[in-house]
Amino acid sequence: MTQRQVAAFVLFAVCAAGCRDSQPGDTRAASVETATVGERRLAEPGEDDGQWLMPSKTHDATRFSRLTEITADNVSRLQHEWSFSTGVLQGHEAAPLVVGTTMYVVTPFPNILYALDLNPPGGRLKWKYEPAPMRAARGVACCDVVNRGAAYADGKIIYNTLDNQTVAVDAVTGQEVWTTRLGDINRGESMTMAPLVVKDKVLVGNSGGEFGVRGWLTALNVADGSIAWRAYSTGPDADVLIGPDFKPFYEQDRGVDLGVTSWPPEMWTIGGGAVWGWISYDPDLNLIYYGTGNPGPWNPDSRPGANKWTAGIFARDADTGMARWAYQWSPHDLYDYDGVNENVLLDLEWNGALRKVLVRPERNGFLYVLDRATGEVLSADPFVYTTVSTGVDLQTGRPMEVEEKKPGFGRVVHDICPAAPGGKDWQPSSWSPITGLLYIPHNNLCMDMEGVEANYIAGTPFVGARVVMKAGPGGHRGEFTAWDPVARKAAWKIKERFPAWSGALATAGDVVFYGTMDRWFKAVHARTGELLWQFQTGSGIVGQPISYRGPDGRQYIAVLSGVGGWAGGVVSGNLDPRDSTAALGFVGAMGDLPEYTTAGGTLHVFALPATGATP
Amino acid sequence: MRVQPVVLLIGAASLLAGALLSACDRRAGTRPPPSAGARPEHVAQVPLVPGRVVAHAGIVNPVGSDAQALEEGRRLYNWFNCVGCHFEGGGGIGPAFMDGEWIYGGSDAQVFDSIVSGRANGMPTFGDKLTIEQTWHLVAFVRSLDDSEPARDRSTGSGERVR
Repeated sequence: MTQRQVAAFVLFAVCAAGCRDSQPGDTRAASVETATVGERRLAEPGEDDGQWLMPSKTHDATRFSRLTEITADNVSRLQHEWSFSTGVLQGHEAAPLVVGTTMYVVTPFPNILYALDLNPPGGRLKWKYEPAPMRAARGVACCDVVNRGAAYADGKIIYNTLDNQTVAVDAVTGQEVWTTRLGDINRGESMTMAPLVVKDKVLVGNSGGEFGVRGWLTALNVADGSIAWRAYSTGPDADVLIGPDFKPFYEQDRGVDLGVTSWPPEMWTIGGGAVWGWISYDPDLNLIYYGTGNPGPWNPDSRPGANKWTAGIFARDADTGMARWAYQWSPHDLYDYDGVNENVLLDLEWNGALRKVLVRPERNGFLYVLDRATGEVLSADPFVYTTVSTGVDLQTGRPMEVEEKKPGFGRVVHDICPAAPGGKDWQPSSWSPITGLLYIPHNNLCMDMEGVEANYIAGTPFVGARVVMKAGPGGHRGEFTAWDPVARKAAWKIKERFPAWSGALATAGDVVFYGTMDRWFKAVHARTGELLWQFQTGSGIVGQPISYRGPDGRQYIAVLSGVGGWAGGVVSGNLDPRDSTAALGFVGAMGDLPEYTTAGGTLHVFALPATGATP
Repeated sequence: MRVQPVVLLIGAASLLAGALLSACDRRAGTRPPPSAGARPEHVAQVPLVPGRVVAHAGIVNPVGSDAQALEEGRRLYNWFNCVGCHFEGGGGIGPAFMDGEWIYGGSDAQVFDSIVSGRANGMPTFGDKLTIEQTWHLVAFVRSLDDSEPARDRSTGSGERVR
């Protein structure tokens, strides 16, 4: 056996014994394959394999690193090791991947994929892959031309391009293996989400909730990019992949073709429910979980009915795509509360029994705990300031809405909290099994909203609302909250000047990392929120931090800076802050961002000093 | 519920609406009212012209920029969803109009051409959706959103003004 083969063999043996228990994300197969990309040191049972193969780290979406070299005691000595400019100026929302000894970075449009060799100090560019998406696709990207990352499987790096292609690139050579076009910009579709690979399939969804798209999730075969199945978010049961196994928990979700009958005639064909967020996977139940986006148009008077299955969640059979249960966070959504946030799959002690739950910091401002086998809402508590509902009725699962906060044609409703980007938008949280806390980067925003007429012209915006956002109570626009889902309350909270629009990373060293739009990359104590270390980047941070073990055995932290996204569009899109309705009203709350940051994407890598390190 | 029937109609006809609209508009476009004026041809997007220095194309907006023209322009700006990308001039999906930085030129003819032909970085081509007269009304309204003083035109280089 060569050294490489030995590494692969031992990795397999170790993983066969312990990886399943220690890493619910079922990374075993991927670990074995990485010998083709670079050799790994060995992982002990219960340890981290040192890689980062998907943006959520594992299929349960905890984004938790088990590496322990960097701790709350020593993180103050963390230093900047190296950086790499992506050459792109738009919002960098992606998580880097680390596979073997190679790091992969996917940029916003034009969606360049960089492969960086981690062996030489400071990294070295191995190759770049340029999919050359259509520039016209920029015209149907609602909220900057972002991309939220790639996934690794079967020797391939797989990701989506803004112009609706899923591409698979050979992780070693950078050669394109396959590419599949899944949508059409002339129907307003784009793609920004990060795929999730489950067994032999890669799951992807569309964006375009502000363009009257019809949302879908599509499963492609990893081997050749052929389409295995597609599940629409609206329309007849046959299109939504609802069959005999569909057992929703709540009465209002049972019936035939509700994806048609909960809409005015034909409106479901342009009704949104885009699938642009996060997907989780439970290998024991063999179910995938993902959310659906807002209904279109925003103006709710245009679409009487519950607008199924928008602003909700599906549990589906991972192999066939057939729905097992569904639930709407915001039936007949009034405020652009896309339901696409991450679903963190945990086994929690709940009223004395261990329960398979799904924890969801939802855009509508509630932190939900669901039974992930049945879809029952076990709890729903506000984690932000809320004026539009007084709670969630656990008998029906429905939010209890405040009548006077309902917007409509020609009526301006003031102080809608949370605002359209929600208590929390796409920015993913991280769970530490050590502290039992979910670390949530989120917003503190309110808005004024007026319904106006919406005219559907395919390929153009379909919104029908005039929105102006502003800071929530306290004047700060962001928060970083550590939430205890069992105690159903916050353990601690940090206020941020701007929306906390980056992902979070919790580590076994009791350190939590996140970035801010005003250019700070921060390490805080997982138990107290105390600021332990910070580093100033060149541009604001809206990316997802990761941690990995380098070829030298040291623990590294990596994050992309490069402000943008919906929240940062005033900088990345060079918008005029005098128009408070600009960028769907987000500019109203972000007019001072240009005083704090300019645009520009850079990868930053951090580690403790090599001397004195304790690998 | 005043507008609901309209929306229901839009919804019910969604599969056909685009085709019908564009067909109607195309018919209308072949018979522009006398006030519509001519469509500009060969509009330069850039000021670099090999061999000679030229002024901007001389065509000016035949519908003018009085209150009536601007109001019609505003109506069309909303109806054709221009507002969904450019908002009230601050921009979003598309660039801002308020700041006086006209990427593809800020003259009447250049703005007209941007609307009709589209631009490479995401501006759709509306040439088959709008009559010439509608386009000129949009030009008037879009230019009125520029409240930089005086308006700067990136396409003509530093210091050159377009109004």
